[in-house]
Amino acid sequence: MDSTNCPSLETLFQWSVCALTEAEAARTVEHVETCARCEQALTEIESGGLFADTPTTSSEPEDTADNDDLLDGFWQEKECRQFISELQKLAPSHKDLEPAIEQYGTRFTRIRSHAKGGIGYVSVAQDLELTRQVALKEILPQFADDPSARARFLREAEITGQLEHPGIVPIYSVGQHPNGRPYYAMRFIEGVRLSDAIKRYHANAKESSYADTRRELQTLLGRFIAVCDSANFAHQQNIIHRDIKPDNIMLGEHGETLLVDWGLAKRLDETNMTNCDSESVSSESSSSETRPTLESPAATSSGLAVGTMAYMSPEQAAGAELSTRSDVFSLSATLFELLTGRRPYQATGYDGLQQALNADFKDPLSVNSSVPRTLAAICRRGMSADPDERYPTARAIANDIEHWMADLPVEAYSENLSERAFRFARRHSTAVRIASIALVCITLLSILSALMINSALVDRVQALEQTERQLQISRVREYANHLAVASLALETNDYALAQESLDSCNASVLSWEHQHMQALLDSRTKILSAHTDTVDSVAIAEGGRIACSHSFDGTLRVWDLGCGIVKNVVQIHDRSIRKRCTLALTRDAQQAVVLFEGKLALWNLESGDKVKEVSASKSFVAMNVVKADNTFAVATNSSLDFFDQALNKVSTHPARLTQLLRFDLSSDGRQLVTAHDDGTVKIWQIDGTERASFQHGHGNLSCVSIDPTGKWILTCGQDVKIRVWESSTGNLVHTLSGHTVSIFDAEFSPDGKQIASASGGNNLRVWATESGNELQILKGHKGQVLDVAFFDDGTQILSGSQDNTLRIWNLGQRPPVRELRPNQGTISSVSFTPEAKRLVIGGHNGEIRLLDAANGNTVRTFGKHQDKVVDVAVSPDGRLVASASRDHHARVWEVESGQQVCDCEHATQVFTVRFSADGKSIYTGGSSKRVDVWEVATGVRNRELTQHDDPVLSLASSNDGRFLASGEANDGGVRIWDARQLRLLHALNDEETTGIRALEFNAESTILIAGTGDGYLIAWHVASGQELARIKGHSAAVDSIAFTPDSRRIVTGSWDHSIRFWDANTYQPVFVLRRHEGRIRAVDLSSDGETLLSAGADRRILLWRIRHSNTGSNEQDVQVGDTEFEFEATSKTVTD
Amino acid sequence: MVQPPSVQTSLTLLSRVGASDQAAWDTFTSLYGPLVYSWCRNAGLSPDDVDDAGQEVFRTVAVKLETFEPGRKSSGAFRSWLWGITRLEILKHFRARRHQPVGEGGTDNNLNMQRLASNAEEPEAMEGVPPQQLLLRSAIEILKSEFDPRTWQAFWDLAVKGRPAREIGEEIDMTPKAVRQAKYRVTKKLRDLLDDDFPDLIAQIPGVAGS
Repeated sequence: MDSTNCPSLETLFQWSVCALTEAEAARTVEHVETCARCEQALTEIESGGLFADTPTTSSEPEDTADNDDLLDGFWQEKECRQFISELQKLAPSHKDLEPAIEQYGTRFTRIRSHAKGGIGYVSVAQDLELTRQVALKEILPQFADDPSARARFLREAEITGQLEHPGIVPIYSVGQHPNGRPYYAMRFIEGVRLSDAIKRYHANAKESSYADTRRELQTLLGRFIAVCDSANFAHQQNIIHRDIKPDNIMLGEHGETLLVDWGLAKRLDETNMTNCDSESVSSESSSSETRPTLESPAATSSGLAVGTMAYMSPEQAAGAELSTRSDVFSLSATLFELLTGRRPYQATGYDGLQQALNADFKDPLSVNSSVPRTLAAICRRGMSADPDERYPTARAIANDIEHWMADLPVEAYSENLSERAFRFARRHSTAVRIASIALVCITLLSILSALMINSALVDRVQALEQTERQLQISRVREYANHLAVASLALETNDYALAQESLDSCNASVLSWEHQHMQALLDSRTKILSAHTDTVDSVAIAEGGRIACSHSFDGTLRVWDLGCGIVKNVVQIHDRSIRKRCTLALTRDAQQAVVLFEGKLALWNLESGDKVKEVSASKSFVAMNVVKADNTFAVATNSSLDFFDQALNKVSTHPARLTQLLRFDLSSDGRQLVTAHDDGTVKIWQIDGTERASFQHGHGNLSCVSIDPTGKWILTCGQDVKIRVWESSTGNLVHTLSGHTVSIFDAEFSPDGKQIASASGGNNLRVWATESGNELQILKGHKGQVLDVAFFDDGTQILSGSQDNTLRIWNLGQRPPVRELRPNQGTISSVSFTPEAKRLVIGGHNGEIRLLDAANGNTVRTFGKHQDKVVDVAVSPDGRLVASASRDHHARVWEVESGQQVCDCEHATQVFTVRFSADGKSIYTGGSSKRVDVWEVATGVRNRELTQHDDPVLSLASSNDGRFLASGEANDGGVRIWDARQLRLLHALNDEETTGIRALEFNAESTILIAGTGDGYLIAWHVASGQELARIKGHSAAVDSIAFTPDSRRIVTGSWDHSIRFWDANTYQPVFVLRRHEGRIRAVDLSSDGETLLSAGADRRILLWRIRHSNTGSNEQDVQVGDTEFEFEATSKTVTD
Repeated sequence: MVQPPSVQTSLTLLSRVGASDQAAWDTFTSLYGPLVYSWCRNAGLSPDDVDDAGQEVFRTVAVKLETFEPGRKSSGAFRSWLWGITRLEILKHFRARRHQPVGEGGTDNNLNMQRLASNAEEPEAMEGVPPQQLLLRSAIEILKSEFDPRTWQAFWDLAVKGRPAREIGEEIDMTPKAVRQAKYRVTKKLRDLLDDDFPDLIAQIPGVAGS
């Protein structure tokens, strides 16, 4: 056998460990078969056995079972086998990890999966509106409920939205699935990661020529410079990336270099981070003394950041304050890997952290001696342990690299003269021959630096040339992203993030939608979830900042109500004991008194220790706190004792009690009310004499309570009624009915004026004590509500429920979204009257009605059309209403009297009607392909405007009375008329558009906006007729348009069920409202800007407000609402 | 020095687990279950707690597997990741037990916890057995049933005992080439199973290591 064909020893070894490709392996084994030399060598290799340190059993006789020997050990015990079989039952269904949803709103359709990141999942999707492919990033389901992951996910959208830079992937839009899970669409980039490019470069470097390698290095450095520029740009916006590494740099197919994954990015001017932001806690609050442990998110969150540690600056590893120079470090660490092919820190885990803390990396030259010395120096400087010694900016690194690439001296590396001369000679060998080196060197350098200054100037001028408009656009986009994040955060009850996002908005671009969001945020209840079983008992500490809850999961949890997080968890009993407890807090909220299973115990909530346990000869049955002297009153069925804060018994109540079930004390402790086994309730004086007694009549009693002032007593129980009694006489005052399922708890407000009750019907109700009226019903819990407590100020209540959550309810505020159901079928048109107190609606039942905007009551029904009303209009002075109907008539009515003023009969269908600015005429448009002008007073048709060749579907009349616009039903024809002389000004034709469904002038009458049947918004300059913008705004017809009174926003209502807000200056999308479940036919803003109305095919009118007023004196006006944003129009008043 | 061979198939099992393949999950738990079990026991958890902790570990793995990045670490990356998860779970168990009356956990409990909390390193050995060996044992256990006894014996005698292929072939009536191919097939499977731990297990062969 020709030995030159023999595989190397190494190949043979690799064959033995299966490290060859299949083809190579087959070739090798064939060869060994025929080559004695190799067979010998392989036998030699094999003689060692394949596995190191494997206890072999070669001493034993041949026995195929001998390998069992190897399988001995404690892990083989029965328990271990049992353990494994249990594990196998776990078999996770991963199907739900894949996003099952194919449709993202109406705009995106998923095509295929693309990649999974740390917390996100990227799909490729088709953008139906702009026919392009986009990357859709959504949060992985397992992180969807993890607040810090969600914050990180949303932060990326928020931050990148602010960074308009070619090196940063723009986010096109932020949306959410019906289940509330957020997603966003970004540009889809095909390419490779820098980390892979580095790997390939170093793999190739071994085989390629020097020149090729050098060229490849230049290319990579060029990419690296682009990354420096992206980072530099972000730094200039006060944003640091915090996770720059080769894995986060994408090299696009078309030469673009992108810095991605901004999920950890941070604004440097964010100083007001709440302590709910765990991310900021880990990176900011720990001093250098408290080094991060491996559990801290920075170190190990989901095991990912370990890799990132390899590029981390010492200050980041220490959790100290970061600056842009921390990114400079990570950039330089990226350069390190680019140059050497290895990460600066090789170790992982604790060692890695230590290395990162001390900037303990090897010199690039010692890792790879082929690294150019200058670049190694750049790398070293960028990675200085002291931030002050690093490059001041990312751009400065790029400068030095550019200089090196251009063979210019670099800042980081001071060369000696001969090196410089050599470099110079290399570049200018001809010049060297004819001139003195020093002279030319100086001259040339000065020319070059002059050139550089020039190019810097050009850059600056270019930067200045970024027009005001572009700045505005990016400001609006940034704002829209903030709002989107706030909106998503709100929907997912992440109030801290919602507020943060709203606060981050640039004041110069705020408008209606910002106020609306703030109002929504203010009105929401807060959900506190952490318990894993029914929450049966809640207590609020003085001041209302801290609460404590008990759950069937056996724990007490202490909540910081400010940010809704659990401060402490104390396991007080086994979770198998699913029993209710009675819970009270000591004054300092450090300890909890728990009455559980007849025993009384004091728990330290900080340490989790049981401080004291008190037992009586009989079981304790009930406990209450006496506010006046901060004692705990605890009763057995025959005695009532008082304990101090340390649970020492201080006194006994003198009343002679028998068969006691429940009791309560007035807040001064002077009045006692007790409920007994036999259905009696007794009222006692301080000296122990019985003042009054009555039968409560509830059957099973669940609660007895005396109001803090001692005037009223309430009882409630199984009969789903609450009874209010006068405490001085024991006379029944009211029976409160309304609950339909057992009432578990009821409590007086601190001023005694209100009663809150918790019911098995998953809701709470709030009642007025004096009148017995039901004030509010609070829906939102998804299980029985077992306990309720008022906050000290009486404006909020806290409830605990079977759904494992607690909720805080804001009582004082009116929900900013209200719903009216006028019961009129599909609503085709609605308009505010000028003073915004009333609405005029026209519906498919042919009726035109005037509604009171405050309560939705019908003030007046105007006469009826024979067919559907398709449009209504209100005259500018609010005196008249006009309607257009399928019955070929347009009519005008007087608002006050309801009388018909005129009836304009058309030969064909009429689609739309508008008043002239003076209110003396109406314009109508319809199948006649004309705009008709009618005199209101006489009902006579004055003029016919005949420049249309298609039915007229939409009309708009400008505020100043100068212009009239009309739009065609089937194509894009729009006519702008001089409204005074009724003369055509502009005929705007557009064959591509499918119908102008809505038209509106801005308040200044300078701009006309049209909404089209295929979802476009088109803007024209009125005076010139020039088209200003054309935006694909909706996925279905835009049927109505309004401007906010500040003229900053265009509001559009569409058949795609959404209401969208557009910046009226830049035409950028700003905000979306989605609540309607059908085509939206009308949107209008009240003249005071307080309320936006929308109405449509779902037969509802929604009133969106920007203020949540405190409930006034008018109790009937109190709206009913729950946290899911389902508001009913009217609240039922108690009928008793 | 032999470079640890790059393993193209190293993530086969993990990716199959990720793709919710029940058989892969069974193999995966059989392979890593004993290791997690040993880690928990070694840390001082009671058998009952081991069951709870172990289940939590695997539940976490199931959910977070897709966040696992093999990285560039030459070997044991997955094992260290798994150890990280296990360690946290063990610590959680100790912590939960901290509030239980003395006697159930007691001082040992606290000591174990402190040890574990202060040291993130994966234990070098459990009852004298290094983790790689433990995995090898599990893998062998899993694979044994997948091959016919003759193939298995060829592999065992050649790869574990290091006997000459010719001699084995004579014994079980196979050509040396067939013996080698049988061994190759099993080894290949073993390699797929053990993914990134495999290079660690390979004996350094003197003649080759020097070259």
